[in-house]
Amino acid sequence: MKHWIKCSPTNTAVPTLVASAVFMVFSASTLAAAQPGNGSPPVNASPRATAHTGEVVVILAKEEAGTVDPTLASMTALRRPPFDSFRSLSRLSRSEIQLGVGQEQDVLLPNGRRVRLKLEQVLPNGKLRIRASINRPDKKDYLPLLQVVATPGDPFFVVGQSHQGGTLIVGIKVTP
Amino acid sequence: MNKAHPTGPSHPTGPSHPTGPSHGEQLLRWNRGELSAEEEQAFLEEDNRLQEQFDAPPVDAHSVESSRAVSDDALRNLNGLNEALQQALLPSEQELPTEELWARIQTGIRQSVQPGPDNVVELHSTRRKVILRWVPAASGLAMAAAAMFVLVHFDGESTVEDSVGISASTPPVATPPVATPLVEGAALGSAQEPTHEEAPAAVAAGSPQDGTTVEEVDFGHHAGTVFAVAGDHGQPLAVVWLSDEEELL
Repeated sequence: MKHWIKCSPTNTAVPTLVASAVFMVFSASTLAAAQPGNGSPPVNASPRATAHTGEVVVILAKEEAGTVDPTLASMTALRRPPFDSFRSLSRLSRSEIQLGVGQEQDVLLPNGRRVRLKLEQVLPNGKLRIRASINRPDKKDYLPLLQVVATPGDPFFVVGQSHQGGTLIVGIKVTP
Repeated sequence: MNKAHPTGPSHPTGPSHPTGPSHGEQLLRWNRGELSAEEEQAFLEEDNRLQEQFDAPPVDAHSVESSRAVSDDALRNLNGLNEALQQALLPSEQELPTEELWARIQTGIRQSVQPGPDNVVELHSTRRKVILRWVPAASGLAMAAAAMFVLVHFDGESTVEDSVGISASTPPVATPPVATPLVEGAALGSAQEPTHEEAPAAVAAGSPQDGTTVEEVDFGHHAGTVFAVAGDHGQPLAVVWLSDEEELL
């Protein structure tokens, strides 16, 4: 059964549309005025002088049967694929770092390369934009560039360097 | 006294015989009555022959009969084909209720396009006003929400440096310090790991925005891949896996 709807012309639609448009413009302008950089300071703004701490953990992983360093037991990610294929995990080093915005810091690796870290930006949402590279001094022989956006306290990993018959896992995290 | 010409004045007067008197001379003599009976007979026969040649080409009786027979055969064939087509089409034509079908179609069309009291819903004035008022308002709200989303999105891309007025030309540290390895102690993310309560509210623990993501990577001359593993709270943790053919130590 087809139904027909009878509607007579009305003059209520035009004012309503105008009101909607005004509301939309008002909302957009209000939101724009509330953005950081337009006068209001951001909630999570950090002054440049504030240093962020962090750490770089270097792990030697092997597929041969072995032991897992108990200090790594709390790292849930290392128990998940593909890391679970390593049956031997030993922590070679743990380095503490301090990074200010725009500052760089190097961390020596046991294979002679260096991890160079730079805190590029602290985003208004609190996340950190971090640049990292792993190379021998004055060379670009392994990882020329890695740029990561990280929640403070959440690590990221660089895996794959060969060392002493195993594979290096480099875990990096920066805290607020 | 001149005799009437047997074929009229348009009779050709050209010579019909290369030798002897021409047909025109014979015509003159025939008009003056100077032809003998034999000459007159010959003249008339010749005149008749010339007339036939002039009026129409000679017709072969056999060819006429042949073409007539062919035409009769073709006509019979056409008639047979016509009868065969009629016999083939007649049953289906008789089976199709053409008139009835078209009548039903037209009746249905007339019934469907004529609104009546049974198939017309009268939209009450209050409902119409509500619809006409809130549909544009809802559209405006949706557009405002879209604008809000865009602004919030761009908010995530802006930097604190921009907001606090620090220029991008801040001189970098010339010689980065080298961190010294610490003694064996707390594991990554154990004692010194800040609790998620310490994190900004915008990145509360367990939220989908947590974790680490790779924005840019340059593998250099090595083969590599980027993926993520789940962290303690299910947040994605970026992993860059890079091959290394050279063992330095």
